[in-house]
Amino acid sequence: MDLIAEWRSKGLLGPTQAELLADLEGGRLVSLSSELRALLYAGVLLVVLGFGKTLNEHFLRLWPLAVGGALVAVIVACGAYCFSRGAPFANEEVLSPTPAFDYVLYFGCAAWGLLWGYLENVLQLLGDRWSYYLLFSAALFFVLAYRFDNRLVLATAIGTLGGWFGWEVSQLGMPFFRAQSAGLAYGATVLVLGAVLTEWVEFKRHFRDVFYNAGLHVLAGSLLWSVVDSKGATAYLLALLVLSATAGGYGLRRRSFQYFLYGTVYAYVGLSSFLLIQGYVDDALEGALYFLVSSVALAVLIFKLRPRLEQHR
Amino acid sequence: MRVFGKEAERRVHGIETARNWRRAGLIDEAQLLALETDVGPLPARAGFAIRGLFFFFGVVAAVALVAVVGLLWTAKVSGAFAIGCSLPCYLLAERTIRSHRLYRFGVEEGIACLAVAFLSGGIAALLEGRSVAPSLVAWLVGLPAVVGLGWLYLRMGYLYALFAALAALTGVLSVNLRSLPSPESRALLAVLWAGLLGLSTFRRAVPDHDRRGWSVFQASLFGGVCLLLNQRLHVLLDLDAKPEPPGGVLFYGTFVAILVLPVTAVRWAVLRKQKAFLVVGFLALVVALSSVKPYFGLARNPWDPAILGAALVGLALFLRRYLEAGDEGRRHGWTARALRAARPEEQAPAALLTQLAAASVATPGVRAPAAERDPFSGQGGSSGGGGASGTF
Repeated sequence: MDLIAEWRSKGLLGPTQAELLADLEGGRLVSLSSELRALLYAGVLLVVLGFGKTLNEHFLRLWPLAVGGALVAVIVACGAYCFSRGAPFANEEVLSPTPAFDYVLYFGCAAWGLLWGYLENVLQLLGDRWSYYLLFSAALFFVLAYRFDNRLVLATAIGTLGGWFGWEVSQLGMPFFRAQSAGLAYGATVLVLGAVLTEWVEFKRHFRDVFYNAGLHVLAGSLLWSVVDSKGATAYLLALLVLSATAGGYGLRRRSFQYFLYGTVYAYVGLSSFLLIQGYVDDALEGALYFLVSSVALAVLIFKLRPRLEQHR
Repeated sequence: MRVFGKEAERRVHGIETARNWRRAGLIDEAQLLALETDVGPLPARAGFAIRGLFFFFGVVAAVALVAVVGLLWTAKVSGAFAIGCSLPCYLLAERTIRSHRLYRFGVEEGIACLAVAFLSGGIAALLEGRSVAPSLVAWLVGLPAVVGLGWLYLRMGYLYALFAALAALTGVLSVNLRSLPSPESRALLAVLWAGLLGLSTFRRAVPDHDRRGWSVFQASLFGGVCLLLNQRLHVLLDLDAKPEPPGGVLFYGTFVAILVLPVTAVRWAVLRKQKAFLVVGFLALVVALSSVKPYFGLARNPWDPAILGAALVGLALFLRRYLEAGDEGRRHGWTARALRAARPEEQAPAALLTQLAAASVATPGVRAPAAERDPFSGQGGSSGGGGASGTF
């Protein structure tokens, strides 16, 4: 890049710095950092998938002790590795001591899930009390995620909590409290939990995006589903608009475009669905005019707010 | 050729690169400020997410405007009307870029792409219901799209337009090759892609701001050749698919090709330090190795993904150690250290997907209660129980 030489000659870049940057931009030095991380991640996911499928297809009725013992050994080995290598607990973000560290912990958690799924299939230990296992596993994963500062395990904990919600709701057998209601309850719980832990208590603040992403999408998705499913229930639409406005405002406050984007898209899709379903927009010309005015208005709004949202650095 | 001046593109690219250096910690804040001051005022450019949103609303607004005008004027939006709107749309995009000094801002991109969509869609609407051979329809609809999208790349530098032009060309040829058996038509398409890859090498002195995108395009062409040659791609993702018997010169020829090409590409990429080719060549190699059993009709085992996964983990750890052990963490110009960092908004989708995949694979499955199953519970879905089946 000829600009590097220009900036160096003007004294804006140091000689060593300019040399490194010229190597980097000239293709003489190439980083494989993100590619190697992706390779590790994909490998661990494939191992977990392959293990699960193998257990299910070949070992359901064979050697339960050996299989259970092997899974316990994997969990113990992963735990031992993490507790022996892990850095001491800190409230701030902690860098992984080794490149594989996060994935070893994640693999141990996946093995825990495999073990209990396997035991339940073979021995039917918990039966209808399976939800206790889900709740306990979610709690365990939360503890491990916080102890070792691991976002993958935190996402798994939040997912397991979702499994518990799903189980409990399905056990209720109440026709009106169906899947979307479970989604509303779960999404709201995750959002509140995330807000309390990361903003209020200020416990591992850098985890907030994991909570907010999961909670916001589930809650907004369930509200949107409810708007469509209930033929345009106004209460659901209002709730969706309030949630979208909150997400948008939060995005502006944090200069985080992703929340602003989510808020805008959910509000626009929700409002458009409501107007179409309720028949407020019932012919082609009205529809075209609505989309013309609304999209121009939103584009102008985003244009005005853009300087407050973009993070160049 | 480009609507933006060469110098403007050079400076935009330069400052975006400098911001990347800052995020990666290679320069400090004061230096970045000095570089920004040195470069001076630049055309307006939006980040990845805002650009996407502007693109979307630009398209919606332009479609709605055309619909309103069409409905008020002729009471319907006909094919001819859509074709007539194509040129004004394109001119509007160019004017927006020039008058507002926009550089990949989203709105103008959406309108420019819509111009091509109006042209092709309008022709398709005009031909609908007429007795024209499907192969001719494909040419009449697809060729304007190929030319229009190719022009958008040449004029405005939108890489996705180049990919879309390639997809349109492949679509046109696929329709025209429909009379041939699938293996032969795929092989012919592979030859076309290989030809395009060969042609792409004639572009010398690619400017800095286009170099990475051009390299990605070339590597994608190469990856496409490998995928098109693979005669068992359809079986690969379907673990329950029945084995098909092997046979024929083309069959064995493509098998050799899908193994030899990626190995050659990886070797070349390592020597020439071409990251895009290295990544695509490696992925093509993984796909080729995974295709060995489907190629010869051998039964696949449920533990195959675990073996592949273990190999990938081992390779990743080995390469990291190998590179780190080199002088200053480098070997032959390759390093495992992070030297680039995307904008936070660009990192967010990848982080979200990574966490979503991790949670769905490792979240313990829900054993559905006997009385009732609820869709939200996942019904012990295939992703539960560490990816085990629904019974887990």
